Amino acid sequence: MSHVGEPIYLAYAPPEGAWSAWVKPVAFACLTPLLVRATPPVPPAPDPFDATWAPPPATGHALVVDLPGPGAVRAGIALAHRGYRPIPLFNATPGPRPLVEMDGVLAALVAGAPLLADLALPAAAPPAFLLDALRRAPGRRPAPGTYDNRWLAFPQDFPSATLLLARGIRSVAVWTLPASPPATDLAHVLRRWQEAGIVLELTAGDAPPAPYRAPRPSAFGSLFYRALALFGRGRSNVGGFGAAVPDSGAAGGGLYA
Amino acid sequence: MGLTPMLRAPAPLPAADFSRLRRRAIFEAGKLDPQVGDHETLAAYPLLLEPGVWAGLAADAEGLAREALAAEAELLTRPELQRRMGIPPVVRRLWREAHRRGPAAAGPRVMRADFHPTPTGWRVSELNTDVPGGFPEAYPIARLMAEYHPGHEPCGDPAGALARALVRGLEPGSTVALVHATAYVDDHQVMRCLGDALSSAGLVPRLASPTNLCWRDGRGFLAAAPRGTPLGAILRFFPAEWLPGAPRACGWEHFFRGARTPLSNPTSALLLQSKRFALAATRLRTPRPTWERLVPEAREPRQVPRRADPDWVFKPAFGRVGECVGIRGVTPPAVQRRIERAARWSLRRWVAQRRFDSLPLPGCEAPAHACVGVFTVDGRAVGAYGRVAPRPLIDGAAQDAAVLVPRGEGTP
Repeated sequence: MSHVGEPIYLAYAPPEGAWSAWVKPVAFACLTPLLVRATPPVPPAPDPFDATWAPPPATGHALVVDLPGPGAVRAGIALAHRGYRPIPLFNATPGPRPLVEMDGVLAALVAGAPLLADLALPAAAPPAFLLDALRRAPGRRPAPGTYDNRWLAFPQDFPSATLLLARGIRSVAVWTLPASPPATDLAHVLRRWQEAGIVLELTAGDAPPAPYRAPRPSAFGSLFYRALALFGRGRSNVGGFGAAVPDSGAAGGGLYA
Repeated sequence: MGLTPMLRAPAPLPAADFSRLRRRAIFEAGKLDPQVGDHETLAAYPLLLEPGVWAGLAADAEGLAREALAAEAELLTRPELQRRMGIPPVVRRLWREAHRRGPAAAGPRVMRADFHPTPTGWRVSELNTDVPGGFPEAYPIARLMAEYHPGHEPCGDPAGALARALVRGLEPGSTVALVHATAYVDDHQVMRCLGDALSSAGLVPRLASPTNLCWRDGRGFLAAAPRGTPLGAILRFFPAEWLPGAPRACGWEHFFRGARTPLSNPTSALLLQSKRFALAATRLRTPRPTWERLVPEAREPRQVPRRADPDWVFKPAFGRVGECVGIRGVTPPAVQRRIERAARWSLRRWVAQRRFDSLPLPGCEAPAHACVGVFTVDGRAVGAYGRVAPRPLIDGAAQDAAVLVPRGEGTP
């Protein structure tokens, strides 16, 4: 294996895994030997992420975890203990003074890898898609010298409703922070699934999921939704793989401006 | 094994081999978007060009590149045709200023012509003259695939060729900004591939968005180092028609006029990127024999009789990756209706192109239509990458396929 991220990636995306293809490789491609060596495994207990609310894995459920930063990974590991396969969808890179903190997410991915390997989940384990709820850096504005690595989730980052249904997934439960409805970009995904007949549920992780109706988001179904989301609202640059916001200091290091 | 006079598709790699190739494509060749929706973006088989085919494709691509550059030079002096092509008013104004005050400095020109096999030979659906993609698939990934097909090699290395062309006009160690839409993972992987090639050529690549640049006396600088050394060149993968959407403070207008830093590609490349170029081309004085032989007829969408629609393909003037291309009987009916409505009512934003019969690759288990994108750098064919789709429409759901030629036929 030539890249330090490859064995970590394989823990989350084993070749036999039914949902491995959806694992975003970006975060794993950014791992460095230093980070991998420095990261201890996830401590066994206590863990604040209690996933006992999750339905048994053979009941036709898939899950979407939309929690802040490394919490999403740790929740995914907790769900793995319940029989779900965590599918990281983090689509951003780390950088100097980032708008979206990625180091914690990367460390959590590294730490969770050996635990996942030990669990030896069945190939058909249902998916728990992992998103960082801070992906749009809420409350933070790009400032000079910051690294703009905000990103969005798009419908094409997930399996279609047709495929989910074909594989026996009838219901999707979304795990968010308390009193946090799904973000707009995720709402586009959920609404598509809902219109195709998938039952949606919502939970804050402290109680069983409750039924949820996804509202119709702005520009839903637009042929140009992706372009609109990224460029059409006065933001030329939102999304993963940002570049450093200009400042008057010295040039940035590495490959980034 | 499928076989046509032009190319063939061998049996897909066994699952275990493909799984390994996919991982190597991610971690060794920088493929960061291996999955889109339900679709694997890498094909498990290459397109093998028959002996001698690459030489013919390369010659045609070079002919198209020559004619494109000549047509572009004429179009820059023909603002009435620019309007007809759907070029935004702000861009036309900046080009008029450039015409008076001098154009932006141009670096190497890279473009890609998309060839489709048909029963009557190759046809070209379009030229990608502004920001052609496919560099990682054309060589780093094709090289991996070639390991499974002894006796074959990639057609060439477009990223390496572009880097070599760029370095010829620069001091060793010059910094080159790789300007792209930072939100797109597929754009990012192209930039990283080009960055690797630039590093190998002795240049210093820096990833950036248009807002990460600043300008002084027409020279581009990294905004993080405005008093440092000016950039040696700017390699742009940010569509030219999106630049006017960037904040004015970043000086994006320099991309259209007044830049003294070489730009590759210059924004004049937008002229032939417009799918409506074909409508303006009939009024050009510049001869275009290769274009006329290979590229289908085009019309204003309103001039296409509704009953004849199955013979026509509707395309947005500045669509990319097959987005919003409508083909009756291929595009889902509901989407097709919306596309046709938009095409007939939006002046200068769409074009109708006469449909050609895409020849499916025979012998494949499932129907597969192929497209071979041939890159040219400064008019010379330097490589190719392929895409395959289950329907005769190459769009975002198509798979990337390595294009391989018999060993010894590739472009060095």
